Amino acid sequence: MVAVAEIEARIRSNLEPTSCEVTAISEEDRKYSVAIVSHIFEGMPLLKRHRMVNDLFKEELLSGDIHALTIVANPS
Amino acid sequence: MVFFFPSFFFHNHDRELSCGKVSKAFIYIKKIHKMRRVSSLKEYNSLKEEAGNGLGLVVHFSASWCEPCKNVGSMLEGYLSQYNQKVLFAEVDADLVTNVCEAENVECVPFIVFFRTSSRERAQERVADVVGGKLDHLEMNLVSLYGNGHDTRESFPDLNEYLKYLTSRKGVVAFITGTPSRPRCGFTGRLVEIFYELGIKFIYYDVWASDEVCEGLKKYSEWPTYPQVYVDGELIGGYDICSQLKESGELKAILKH
Repeated sequence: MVAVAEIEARIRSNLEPTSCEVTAISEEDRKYSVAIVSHIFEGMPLLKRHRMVNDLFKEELLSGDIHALTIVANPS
Repeated sequence: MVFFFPSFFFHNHDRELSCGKVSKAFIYIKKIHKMRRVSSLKEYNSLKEEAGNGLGLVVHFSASWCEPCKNVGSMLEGYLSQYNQKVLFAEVDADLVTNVCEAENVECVPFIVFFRTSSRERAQERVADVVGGKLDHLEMNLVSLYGNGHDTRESFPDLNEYLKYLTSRKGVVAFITGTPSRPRCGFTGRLVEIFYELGIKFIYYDVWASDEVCEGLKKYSEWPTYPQVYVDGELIGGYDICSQLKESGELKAILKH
């Protein structure tokens, strides 16, 4: 299990978002939802955006501390 | 010249004996691949044990009065030689063998149950169902669960070659947890619903069937979760991406459908 605040902090310090919203869909099931707006995503294919976000939590996703991240990542 | 013996003579196995024209009779026994007609619960349980020698078992619950059952039966018969006893096919007359129906909780016909041989105990694990005579779902499950009969993991020199093969198969390939009819995760269920809603034909791989594939594909694709959807060996994404592509109207085109 990972704190929502930890997820948000890591996104903010790595992706320069103008907007960042993190929700625990189900903390018990370790499912989280993240909605990010960042200029970094400009011109970037959807798959690459999601991969960038997933990479921030690579260890947690592999260890199972995070079961699933639902991601919305837009440049504006 | 061909000799036939009554089937009961060989303890419910059909055999064909043939003589060539030689000075000394040359006799060989050939097992004919056929649909097993189940007549008792005991026989059914024995069949499930026998299926442990191969990839699995497909059971068609039918009735003589059921018209769609004939189409299902014909289609399944067409797969017998391809799977060549690696997958066993059985038919249960639901009117006559009611205790098997009760044992498997089957209440309508046609009803097709797919079992997979679990790698650990060689027991038959019930992994998918097709309710009704949906021939396209039958085919999807057969191909997804048992491959083409020859393309099991042992046929490939290493895991990466196997993963490359699995992800590059024709059409849309979804790596999911469980199966479309028995999903083990909400995301898998919702992904399948998207495909059905848009009429997107696909095959799947249940990553629960193999720890090696389940963990290996995450590294191979650098994608940490399931489902994972591929076209032509290229990762399209997971449920989120497919859902967003559907909303933007791009999913069918991207899946080359």
